[in-house]
Amino acid sequence: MLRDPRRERKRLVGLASALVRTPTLFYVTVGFALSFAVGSLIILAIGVGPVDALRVALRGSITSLDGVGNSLVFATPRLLVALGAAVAIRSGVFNLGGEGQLLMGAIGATLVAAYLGPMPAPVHILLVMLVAAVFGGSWAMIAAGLQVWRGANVLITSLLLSFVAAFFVQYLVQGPLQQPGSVFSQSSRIHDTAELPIILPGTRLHLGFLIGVLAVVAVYLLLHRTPLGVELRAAGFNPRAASYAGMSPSKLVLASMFISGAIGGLGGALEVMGVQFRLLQGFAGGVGFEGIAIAFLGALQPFPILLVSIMFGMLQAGVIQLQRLDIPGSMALIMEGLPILVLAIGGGIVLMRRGGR
Amino acid sequence: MPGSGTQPLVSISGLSKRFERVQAVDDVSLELMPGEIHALVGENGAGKTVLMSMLYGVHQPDSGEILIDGERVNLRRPSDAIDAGLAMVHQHFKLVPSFTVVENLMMVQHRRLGWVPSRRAFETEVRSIGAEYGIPVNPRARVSELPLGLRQRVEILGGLIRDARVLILDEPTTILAPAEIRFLFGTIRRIAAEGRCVVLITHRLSEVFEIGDVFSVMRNGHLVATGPTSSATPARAATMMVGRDIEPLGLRGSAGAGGEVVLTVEDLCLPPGEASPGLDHLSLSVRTGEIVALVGVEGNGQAELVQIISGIRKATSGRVTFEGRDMTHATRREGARSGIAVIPEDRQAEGLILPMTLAENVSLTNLRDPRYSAGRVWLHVHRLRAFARRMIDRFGIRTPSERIAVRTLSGGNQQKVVLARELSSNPRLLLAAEPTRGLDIAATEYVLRQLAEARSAGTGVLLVSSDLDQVMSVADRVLVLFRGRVSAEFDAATVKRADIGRHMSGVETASSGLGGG
Repeated sequence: MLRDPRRERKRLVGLASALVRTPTLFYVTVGFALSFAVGSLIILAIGVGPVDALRVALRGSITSLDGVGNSLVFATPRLLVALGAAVAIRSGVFNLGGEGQLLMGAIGATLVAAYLGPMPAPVHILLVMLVAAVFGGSWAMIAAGLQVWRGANVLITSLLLSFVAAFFVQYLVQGPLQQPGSVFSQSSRIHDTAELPIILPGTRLHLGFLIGVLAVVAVYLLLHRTPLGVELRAAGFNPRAASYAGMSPSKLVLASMFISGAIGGLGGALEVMGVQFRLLQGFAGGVGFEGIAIAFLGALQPFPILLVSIMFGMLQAGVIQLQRLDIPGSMALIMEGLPILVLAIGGGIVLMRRGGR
Repeated sequence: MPGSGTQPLVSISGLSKRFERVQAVDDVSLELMPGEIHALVGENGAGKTVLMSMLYGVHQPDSGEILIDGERVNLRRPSDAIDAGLAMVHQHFKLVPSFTVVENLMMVQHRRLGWVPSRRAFETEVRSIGAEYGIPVNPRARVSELPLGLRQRVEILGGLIRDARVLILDEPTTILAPAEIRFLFGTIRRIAAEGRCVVLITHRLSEVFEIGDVFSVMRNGHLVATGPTSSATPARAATMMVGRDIEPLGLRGSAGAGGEVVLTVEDLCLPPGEASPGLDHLSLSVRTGEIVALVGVEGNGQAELVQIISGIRKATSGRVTFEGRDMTHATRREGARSGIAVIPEDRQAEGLILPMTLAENVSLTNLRDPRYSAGRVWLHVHRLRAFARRMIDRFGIRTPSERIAVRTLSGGNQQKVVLARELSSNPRLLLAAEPTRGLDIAATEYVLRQLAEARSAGTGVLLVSSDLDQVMSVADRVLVLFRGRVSAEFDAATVKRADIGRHMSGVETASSGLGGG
């Protein structure tokens, strides 16, 4: 096909108007503004000036180079779990086990990064990512298999397996993987060759964020440009029609869960190689659950998920700085919860208006 | 017949409604008289349902007004219309499947805050109104366990319990067997005899002339004719509907056509299920180049047979042989690869992925074809789109683009997408389950012509249908399915409809069927 310039222009116009009309962006922005307003009131009640609080929060997240770096660092694991959740949910499989898959990925990553090598950095990093993906994917396959062969809903099993994974991490860092001679619940430090390079000098921003952005593109291409992805979406919308079209819904459940878990596991690897440099107790700290909320707020679409993840990263980075102003740590939890609440309500309104997905 | 001097129950004047680029209803005026059975006919997308939805408060008109009992009303939601004395039975029922009949009916009547009346009193009312109109329904039956025909009766009962004066039935006969249709018409006559008005939305002209007092024809959003049925003939009405003369299809073949046997089904068995008699040693065969019609009242094992031959369900015993190969345990994908195409019964639930694009839907079975994907892992999206555009041309699918969600297409065009997908592989066997259900005259004719064309190309066609008109116009052989087995076989060229009907209702096989009224 020759490219007709008029057609091309129409496409661009269509794309632009779609972006403007995208309810995701609108609701996410409004949601953050609203929750910020509510948060200011609470801060005021505590006795801190909201303007001061805002200044500190913004410096910690947006208006300083360091803040920007921190925001994107916080966004990275959330982004990957959210992408993984989106792949599964769009395939009709409610994978709520992102937290567990991220943790299993982190375990696999630590094993390779700390106990194998040293070896040339690119090889080491790629190997860590690969093993983490396999670990996360395999962990997700337990839940998938239970659904396909035993009829236990993934929604329940994947969620419960997250707690199993969390306790498994605890066991490892207090037992077989505990750093020799250390009193802390943590593993040995990873080799230097497995550390992700800093991509923005003077900040903590590591290569993992770019890998996450690549994953966004990869997930989009998977869902729209590969036979498997089209089949996954088809089975997600209508498994009966998919089976009439010759697909095997149970194979697709397995495939979507493996991919979903692998992406989550990759998130764990990036966290090990870019932030923690070891496996720790309480490693994920609920990031996996936040990721599911982000996936929904991003309408299960890769690019909106990237934006929402960055917003959540900024929020996290900003709220952490608030602790300097003697604002209690629980305040941070409230500030994180508010946008989810506001956005969930907003998302509900959008869905109600459209009358379904 | 309605009196001429009485005031109309409902009077619509100058009603218009536009949906984005489509003028769905354009300046329509219509009167509904008490005691009148008003048939509203037109092709899919002619605007019948939209017009009635405005009357029922589902859509708001862009212009025009609605008068009920001579008074102008503003129907902003269905509850306004219900309060004004209207009831509508939709094509897709609005019952809660997990509730019983009484619970559903109580829900329609008592949607507002307040005390719920005694269930027993309500049950008595349901029974007595049911008996009055000849609609016997067990008030305690769970709706999910009722066949479609009975669910429809529950909906009608809901309108009667509210004492609705205008009852709108949207395509009520498409899901019914001939005997059930007669039964429904009996009910409609009783309802109208009391001075209520029944609006029957349909595109089957034979019904219009069987039961309608007055008929109105819509085409492209316009009301092209309205008047007493006695003043017109079916042929004229059909011409008005499609805007051109219809010729008889002339597609019928006769037994003895066809070449070698392509599909053999032997002794297929399946235990009876909730709403199905199962399959009882069912055997049949299909030759290349013939259309074998399998007729029967819905729920006699058609769905199960289609699923087994498709490969998405397994029989407990028996054999399916396709071109000499044992396909009893083949999956759908294996079947599709070896040349079995399937047009599933429910195109929206089984045939299409509604939110996905036309291009994606038309190529669902081709995704891993080396022509369309590199190494089965990377789609050549442009080739797929070009393929979709070829299919749009070849099958005359009316769509602005191949990249539009099939949800937005009309029923006929959706079915063309399924046809295009299944026929583009040049199958050896085409399994078509109710391929014209819910389609208008032009689309039905189109689908039947495609079946006939596939026959000419040497494809064996197994047509599962409950529409005798359709079967008689295209089939070579007719098999009757009754309680999970083939109870009779006829040559389509010589058989009489009455004979088929008797076998469908089971009169010929000792015990009588359920349907009768």
